[in-house]
Amino acid sequence: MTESECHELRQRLEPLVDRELDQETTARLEAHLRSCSGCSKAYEEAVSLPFRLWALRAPEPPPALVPAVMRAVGAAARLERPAVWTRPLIWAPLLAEGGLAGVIGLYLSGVAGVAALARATVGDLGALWGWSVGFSSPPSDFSADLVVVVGALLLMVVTIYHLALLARQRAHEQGRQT
Amino acid sequence: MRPLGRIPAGVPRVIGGVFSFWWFVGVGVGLATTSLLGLSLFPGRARAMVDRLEAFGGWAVAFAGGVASFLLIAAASIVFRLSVVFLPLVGVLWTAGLLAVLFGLACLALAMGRRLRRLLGDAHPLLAGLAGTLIICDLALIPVAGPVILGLFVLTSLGLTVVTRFGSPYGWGLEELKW
Repeated sequence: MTESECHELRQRLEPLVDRELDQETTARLEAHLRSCSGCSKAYEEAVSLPFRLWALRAPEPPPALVPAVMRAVGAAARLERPAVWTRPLIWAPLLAEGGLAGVIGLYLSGVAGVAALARATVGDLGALWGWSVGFSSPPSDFSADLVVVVGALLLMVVTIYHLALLARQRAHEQGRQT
Repeated sequence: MRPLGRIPAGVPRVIGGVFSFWWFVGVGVGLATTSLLGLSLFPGRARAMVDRLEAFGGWAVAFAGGVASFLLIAAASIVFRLSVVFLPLVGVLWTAGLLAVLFGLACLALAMGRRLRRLLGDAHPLLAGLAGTLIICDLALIPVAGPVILGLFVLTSLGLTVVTRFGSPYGWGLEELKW
């Protein structure tokens, strides 16, 4: 038993346990194992099941690994996504809606006209409630104006289309996340 | 006479009219109670809405949806007003809008509470929602800017409820008609 033989066995312990060495080397190292109690004990430990299971364990990641990965992934995702303020599907229809609402508002004499219309509608709702329980006359007819009606209908169409776009944007985002 | 009390004679009326101290307390307690009730009754839908809000671009989509929804309600009110037959729908529309705003505000409060929870530590979701509601109430009390902030919150909450279809797991679409 020499020190160099012990050193060689410790170096080749794993391949020896896994039977990956050639026959000559295996025979020589096994002969050494029979004559060296220290190397024999190391070999017994190496072939034991707990030791081999321990060797299979995944190494513990350093604490800074997960935050670093999340930062890198977040930065990549931010680069991939366009800025919210530059998304035309979100903001462009608002221009058309604002324009239509502005036209209707100006046609109704501005904020005062819109407020008067809202007050009249509330009053009509109250009158309808009173009429339905038999305390008042039915609400008066609305003096409809073609510009207001067409503008309101157009505004409804544009806003519904806008909401559909926003909902599809949501589905698109969900698809990207999955 | 104040809604919940009377200012004694001799006490300077720093805040007069409708906006008395007890008015603020009443609005805050009412909003908190409504929010907690909404979150307790529809926890799954609230969580889905908050998840949507916290996704990329969620606040922007909710705000744009809120503006569109508000204009849609206004335009539909004008159109429904034309006919006595459809006039009751105006009341239904406004009531639905009010409910959507209230539930959306509860979800906004929950989202703000969840952000607070990440900063300050773990807490029950209802407590997080309550904390968020108090934040919204406090922001609304800022002079001049408060009503503007509250208006932005109202629009965003309305849009959040409409775009997520009241927290439905599926978006708006006709796919559900297929069977």
